[in-house]
Amino acid sequence: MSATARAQTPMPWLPPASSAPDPAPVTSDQMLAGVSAEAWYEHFDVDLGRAGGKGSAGGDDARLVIDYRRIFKLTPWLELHLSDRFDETELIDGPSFSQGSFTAHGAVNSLREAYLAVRLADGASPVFVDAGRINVREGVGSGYNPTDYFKTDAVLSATTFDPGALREDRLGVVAVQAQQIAPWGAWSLTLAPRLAPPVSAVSLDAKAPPLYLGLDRTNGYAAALAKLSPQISQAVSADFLAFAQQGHAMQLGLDLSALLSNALVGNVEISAGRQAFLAGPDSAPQKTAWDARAAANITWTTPQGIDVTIENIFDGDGLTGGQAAAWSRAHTAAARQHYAALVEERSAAQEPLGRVGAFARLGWRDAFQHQGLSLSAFVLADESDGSLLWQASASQSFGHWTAGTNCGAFEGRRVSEFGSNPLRVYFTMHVARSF
Amino acid sequence: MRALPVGRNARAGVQRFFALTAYRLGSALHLWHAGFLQHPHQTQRRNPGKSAQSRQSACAPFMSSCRRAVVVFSMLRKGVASAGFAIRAKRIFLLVPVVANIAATPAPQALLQLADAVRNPQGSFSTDITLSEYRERRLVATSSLVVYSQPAENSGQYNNLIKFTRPVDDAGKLMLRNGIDLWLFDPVSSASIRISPQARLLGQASNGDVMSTVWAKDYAATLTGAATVADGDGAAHRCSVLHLLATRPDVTYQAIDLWLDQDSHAPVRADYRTQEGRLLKTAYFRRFENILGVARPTETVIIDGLNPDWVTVMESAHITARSMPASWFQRSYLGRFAGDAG
Repeated sequence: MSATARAQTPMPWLPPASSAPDPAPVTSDQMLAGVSAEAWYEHFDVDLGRAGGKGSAGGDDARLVIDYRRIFKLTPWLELHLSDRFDETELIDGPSFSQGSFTAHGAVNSLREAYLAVRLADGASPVFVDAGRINVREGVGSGYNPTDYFKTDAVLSATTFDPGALREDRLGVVAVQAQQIAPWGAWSLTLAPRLAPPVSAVSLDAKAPPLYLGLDRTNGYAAALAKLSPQISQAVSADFLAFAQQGHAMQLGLDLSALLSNALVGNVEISAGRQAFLAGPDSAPQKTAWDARAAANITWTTPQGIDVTIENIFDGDGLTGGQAAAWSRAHTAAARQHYAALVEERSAAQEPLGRVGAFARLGWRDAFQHQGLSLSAFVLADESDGSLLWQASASQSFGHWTAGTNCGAFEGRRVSEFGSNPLRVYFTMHVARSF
Repeated sequence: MRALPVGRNARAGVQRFFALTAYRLGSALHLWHAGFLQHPHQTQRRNPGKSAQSRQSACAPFMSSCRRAVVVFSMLRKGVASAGFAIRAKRIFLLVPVVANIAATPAPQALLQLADAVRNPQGSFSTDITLSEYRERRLVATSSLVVYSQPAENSGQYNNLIKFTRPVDDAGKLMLRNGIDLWLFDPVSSASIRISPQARLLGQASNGDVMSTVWAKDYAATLTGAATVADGDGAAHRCSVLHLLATRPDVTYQAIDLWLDQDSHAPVRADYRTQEGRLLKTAYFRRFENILGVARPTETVIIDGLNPDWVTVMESAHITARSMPASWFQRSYLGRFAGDAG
């Protein structure tokens, strides 16, 4: 049928001009502010054998969360950024056990960010200086971010194991950061002083006081991060990083992102430097040596708008398959304790325990053409010991209200990265109201 | 998941990592090649000339005229005082009616440029856009954005920065497009991530529907005829009909049938199609208002090609010429963007 003939086909129904109601616009102030109150119900099944007891048990938590984010524009060149999260979790029934941020009971406050942002120069190459607690996030990986150098020990409280959410709900580092954006690209320099002795393994597990700032978690060592982001091409972008931390070897990082087709995006993230290698139960810890940590992923957006991500994870200093098998054969109490400490240390550092892993995620925004319905699922696997963590989530927003649910499980042998977690299965429901 | 054997040292691990990455990339490419991950280039290879043939039948007489007109102009340019002047002069005489006809209508690409001048004000500008989605004549969703557009220095296209202002969940998010470079910034995570053009963030509307684009830079136009069509307000227009074929694989629509008012060169209707000619959407332009000295459409009604009951109305308001710093259109600036205050 020619275009002329097509033009003569009957016109379909068209809404009358400007028939749509004009809802109240979201003001600039509202855009800069985000306050939400969340009520959570959490059910969990615990393998008490993994937690040092016997048998298994189920339990229930109730949680109240107040999440606050706001940017105050004090002058045209000065802003104050605040971001805070307060969790109050009560055990309704079931076993009380401590295993990381998900199961922390009582009141926990996470001051994620509190900093002043100053615009020092304007024009074609503006310069900014930030000072205070800043959540400095780096990396293009989805399940693992080896160049996200300030992530270690930074998660204080969490309601999900989604690596993406953990990057948001963590404590920032107290630092001074300078950034210049120029026509050729951008550079930034972040300097973080040492403000407290580094957090110990015991402190990681201990209940934090309500007004705990967590400086021992974020500023236990002085650190500096330099970043260069040149404009390379439209299809490829790169960030070059150098990270130095007191008492640790310098790490060099590269974040590479490329558009592969109309529906495919590829990312590669590499960090290289001297690291202490993990060892098996019968081996002495190896000396530090050059090592690489990396994540490489591809995200495909289907014609229906579903994002499918697969990612390969490599952590050169993690346990090999042989070493992981050796740990599973070690039955002494000392070996088990040592292994549990390794798992907890790597988990808090958000570093994989095994040398090779994989991550996959499905995400569907406005699923089934239904506005506000979000569906997602991910699997994080340690291929060195065959264990995995999976989670499926759904949420529906109704204007200022959101209802959501998560369920997930830790699978694997008792002596494995994910199988050693006392949590076996968890299920949560929540309702949130934003203001 | 199956535990995989692991090398004895870090070097073996690195090799294995890259081998696994290559294998998975290969698997994805295999799916792509098999048609699951379709690419416009591939569809072009699979159906060489199919759509061109179907168009050719409708356009053949006119194309023939165009070819002959090109010959005439070429001859005139090269000089009529050559040895074959008599023969050529005879041909010129025979083609005078055709040339006269062509002279009355600007060339297709020039028509497209005129249409672009109606769609987009000159220079940098910003526009408030409201998107209203209807299903079976019922309003089901609304969203609103501010689009900042600045002519790119080298490409002749626009760089676009989009600020989401509604619904509340999306308020404050930013989308940046520089050519094929497309980034999404979420203020909650303070992170910019590269997204593909197929990523859908605006309900049924495509990213390309709301961004300012220069059709004449992305499409090759052919004039296929003239027709009288109704615009979105129901008013009849005598139109030139253009067929546009994308000259780049990354544009939102690979082909467009476009009806342009013969007097004002304003777009009246557009059928957006795949490369094979499948109808994706039909757009009706309406509510023409004098903005910055030109009558421009302020509403576009977009009708789904598969289900005509799925309708999106895109309403533009406050189209304002303004200067913007080039730094706004850099990904590193997304975390610093604070709207009109800079």
